[in-house]
Order: sequence, then structure tokens, then C-alpha cells
Amino acid sequence: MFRFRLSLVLPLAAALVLALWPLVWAEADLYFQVFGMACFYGVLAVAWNIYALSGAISLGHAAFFGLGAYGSALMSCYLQWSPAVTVPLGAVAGAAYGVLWGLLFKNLRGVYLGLATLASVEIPKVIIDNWSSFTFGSLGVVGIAPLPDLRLGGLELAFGTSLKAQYYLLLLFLALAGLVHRYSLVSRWGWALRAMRENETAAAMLGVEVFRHRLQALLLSSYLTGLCGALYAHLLGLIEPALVFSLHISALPLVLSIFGGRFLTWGPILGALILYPLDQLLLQPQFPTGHAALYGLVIVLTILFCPQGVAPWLRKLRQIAWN
Amino acid sequence: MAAKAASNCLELRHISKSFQERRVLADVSLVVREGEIFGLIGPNGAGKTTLFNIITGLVRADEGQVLFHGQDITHWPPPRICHAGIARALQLPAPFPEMTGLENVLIGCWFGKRQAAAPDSEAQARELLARVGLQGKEEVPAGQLNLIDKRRLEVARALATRPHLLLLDEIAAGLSPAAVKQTAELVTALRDQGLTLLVTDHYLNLTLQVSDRVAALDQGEIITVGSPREVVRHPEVASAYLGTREAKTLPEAAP
Ligand SMILES: Nc1ncnc2c1ncn2[C@@H]1O[C@H](COP(=O)(O)OP(=O)(O)O)[C@@H](O)[C@H]1O
Ligand SMILES: [Mg+2]
Repeated sequence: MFRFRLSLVLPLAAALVLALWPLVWAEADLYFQVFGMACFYGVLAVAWNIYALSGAISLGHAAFFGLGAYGSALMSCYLQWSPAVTVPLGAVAGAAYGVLWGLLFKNLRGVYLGLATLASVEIPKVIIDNWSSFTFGSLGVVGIAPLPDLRLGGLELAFGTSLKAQYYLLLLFLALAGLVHRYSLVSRWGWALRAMRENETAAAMLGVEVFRHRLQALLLSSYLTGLCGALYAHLLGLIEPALVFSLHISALPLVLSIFGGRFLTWGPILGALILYPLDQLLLQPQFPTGHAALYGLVIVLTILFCPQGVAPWLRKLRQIAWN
Repeated sequence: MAAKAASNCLELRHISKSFQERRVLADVSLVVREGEIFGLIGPNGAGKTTLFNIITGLVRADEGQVLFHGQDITHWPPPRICHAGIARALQLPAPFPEMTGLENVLIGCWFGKRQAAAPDSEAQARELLARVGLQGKEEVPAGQLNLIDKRRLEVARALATRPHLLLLDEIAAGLSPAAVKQTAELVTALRDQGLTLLVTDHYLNLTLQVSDRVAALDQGEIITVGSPREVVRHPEVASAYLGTREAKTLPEAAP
């Protein structure tokens, strides 16, 4: 009983801290930005992990990210629709590519799947690079509409300009992603993913519809990643193929998830909330050029010394503290 | 059900399969009747496991058909075959290693048949574990069980899908005489409950003891089908097992 309550209380407490600290410390734009982006990468990590839960390690999620970013940016640019519409619609471009993967890579596993996903990022990237008349080519899209402001009674949320408002938006996005992740772990559907991850042949013979469930996971994963890309385009105001289809975008969610712990509800989120601020606040000021190497180092150390990630450690600490 | 009682449960028609030019199954035809224990005997490498793989949809036959209750299931994917009512315990156990024994069985309860969502799957899963002799090991991660217990778990998990037809591959392999006796009792009890069973073995004892009918498979061909008594007396069966042909190991010498 206590364990159940504690497992609920801790994330709630963490959520409260994340939600309330800006009230105490009102003018901290740097921290709003850093922790806002930490939440953003937390969503990206969750999105990546949902597909990974079905036993498929992707090295190409930048494809969904880039397509979501371009889908929303171009729609907003040509049709002048509000980002409130183009973000959810643009992300469909990512999901559509996800379904294509699911069908084409149906029989690929392990290393072969990894290579295929890695290579498949190049296709949309090259097309967007070269179709200049429509996509503005390698110069990218600039002057993308910022997120619209929202008025709730007397409360004005300037998502386009206020870093604090953006922080809250991204925190909410992360909370929703956290619920989706939890569902992907503990629901019946989550057990189907787990079964196929642990032994695909056995799962299939016990009635788990491996192909269908994995495709659903990929659909959800690619749509969420497309949403991230679309939000990114409007938060930043400019995108270019080399940026949104970069290897960094594919690798980061993998690193964050593995560091945090892939099989615990809060694992990937924890990874993002620890590593991204660590990188941005401590390492980047010290080593402006080499700080990205952190992620490389972290992944090597994690895989070598705690392949389950840090979340299980925290869980153990909690149990020790409790007893 | 009464009308079905006399009918065929599983029918294999002219199944052939080659792996890289090597003929592993050659024109195999068999009928398993509703409610019987059907034994498939044959030395190592005879093609028994391959035949099971074809029935459960893991391997595609080059030619031939598989009929289950008269329905052609030849090219169905494995989950659909499971939902139709065929379950199998693998020769090499394939547990979900990080899940507990109980969770392994629950996967079978939850996904085995879509229509009948059992109200209390956990109680059912515990009962099945006890039935195969795994009581007290419900919470052990399946990857940590020993080989014998993993094989028992295979059976419990297969039963959890509520099958009509249960395929047991190498039921006696590695078992102590006491465990062989338990397995024989379990198999017979399942048959008496109304299940149809297709069992293989490269040792003859258990299969011959429990089976209602037996087929002997050698080098991918059915040599003979009949009662256990008839089959052991068949001269070709004797030669297949006594190793009069070259490159044939004695069944007792195999691991
Ligand atoms: N996937 C495969 N690829 C190549 N050869 C195979 C494959 N599966 C089985 N075989 C071969 O088919 C023959 C029959 O194997 P199997 O069906 O396992 O026999 P049994 O179960 O009767 O011992 C063996 O010679 C085996 O080497
Ligand atoms: Mg075999």
C-alpha cells in the first residue's frame, strides 16, 4: 500500500516543484528556457521509447521530427493558418512516414532495423534540400509564425514571446507524454509490447498480434515525435534540413531514455531533466565547443556500468530510505 | 460439439518443406482426430519440430495444406492460429525472461483468445502453474528457472491460451523418471478433459505409453500410422531406431 502511494507521491511532488518554482523565482529567463527545453527533450525521449518498448531500437527518429517541423512550418507559411492548427496537422507528416516504416521494415530486426531507420532519414532530407521552389531548400524556412497567445479570463499566456509561458506549455506537454508513457508500460497493450520485446516468437504463438501492436506503437511514437518537430519550428522561428534531420535529434532521445531507464515510467523523463540542464548550465559555459561529447560519454558509461539506467537506482534508494 | 466429436481436429495434406535444397518434409499427410492423443515419433532430425513450426505458422510449407476443424489455416500468422485454438510448448523453452512465471502465464490468459476475457485471470494462472508443478515459483523471473521448470512453464503458458489442440514438442526430454510419470499423468488428464494433443518425442517410452495413435516419421517421410503396438512392430521403424542405416544415431544416445 505504502509503496503504491509513494510511487505516486514522488512524481506528483516532482511535478509540483517543476510547476511552482517559477512563482518563487519570477525573473529567470535562462532557467525557463533550459528547463523548458529539458521538458521538450523529455517528450522526445518518451516518444522514441514507446517504439523501443516494442523491441525496436530506432536510429532515425529525426525523420519524423524533421517532417513534423516542415509539415507545420510550410503549412503555416503557405496557408497562413494558426500554429494551433498546423502543429497537430503537420505532425501527421511524421506519422505517415512512421506507418511507411512499419510496412517496409516489417521483417527487419536488431542491427538491420537500426541501419534501415538511420538511412531512411536521408530520403526526406534530400527531397527537402532539393525541392527549393516549395521548401526553400537548404537555406531553410525563416520567419515561421510564433505560437499564438492565449487568453484565459484575466490570465494572458504569451506563448510566442514569454519564455515562462513556453516553459509551462512544455511542462504540460511533458506531463501528457508521461501519461502516454505510463499507459505504454502498464496497460494490456503495454504488456503486449513487453512480451514481443522479451521474446517475439513466444509472444506471437501466445496470441499477441506482434505486427499490429508494433505498428500502433510506431504510429504513436512517430506522431509524438512529429509534434515535437512542429513545436520546435514555431518555438525557434527558423528551420533548415541539416538542423531538424540531424543525427543529434535521432541520438538524443536514445541517450536520454537509456540513461534514465527505459522500462520505468519516469525513466526517459528523468534522463532529460537531469542530462539536458547539466549539459546546458554546467558544461556548455565551460566547454562551449566540446560539450556535446557529454552525450557520447554518458551513453558509453551508462551502457557499461548501469545498463538499466539511473531510475532503478533511485528506486532502490527510495526503498532503502523507506525501510 | 457432438457432431464434431467424430470429426477431424487437425488434418495435414501433402506437406513438403526444404531448407536450402535439403528436403526436410516430404509429402506428409496426417489426420489427428478430435479428443485423442496423437504421438509423432522419429529420430533426431526427422522433421518433427519443422512440422510443428508449419502447423503454428512459424514456418511456411513449400507445398500442402493444414486444416484445423476443416478450415484451411495454412498461411495464417501465428497469433491468428493461436486465437483459433492451437497452442504449443516449444522444444527449446522461450520464456519472457524478465517476467515472473505468473506474468508469463498471464500473457497467455490475456492474449490467447479474444472473445473470452476471463474475469479472474490471475487465479487461473496460479492454478495452471500449480498444475504443471510450479507452485511456489510464481514470482521467480522466468529467466532464472532451470530448464525443466522452463519446460513446465511452456506448458502452463500454452494451456493459458485455452486451446482445443495442444502441441507438445519433446515432452520427455531431460526429465527424470518421476517427472516423466507426472507428465504422462498430465497429458492423459488433459485428454480426458476434452483437449486434443499432438506430442513428439525421440524417446519412445512416454509417447508410446500415452498415445492413442502414433505416426512414425523418418527423414521427413511418414513410415506408418497406427496404434502404438502396431507402430513399434513395423520393420522400418525398428531399422530407423536401431540405426541399421548409416548416420542414424540411436535415440537413446541423443541428448
Ligand atoms: N531453419 C532451418 N534452416 C535449415 N535447416 C533446418 C531449419 N530447421 C530445421 N532444419 C533441419 O531440418 C531437419 C529437421 O529438423 P527438426 O524438424 O528440428 O527435426 P526433429 O524435431 O525431428 O529433431 C534437421 O536436419 C535440421 O537441421
Ligand atoms: Mg525437434
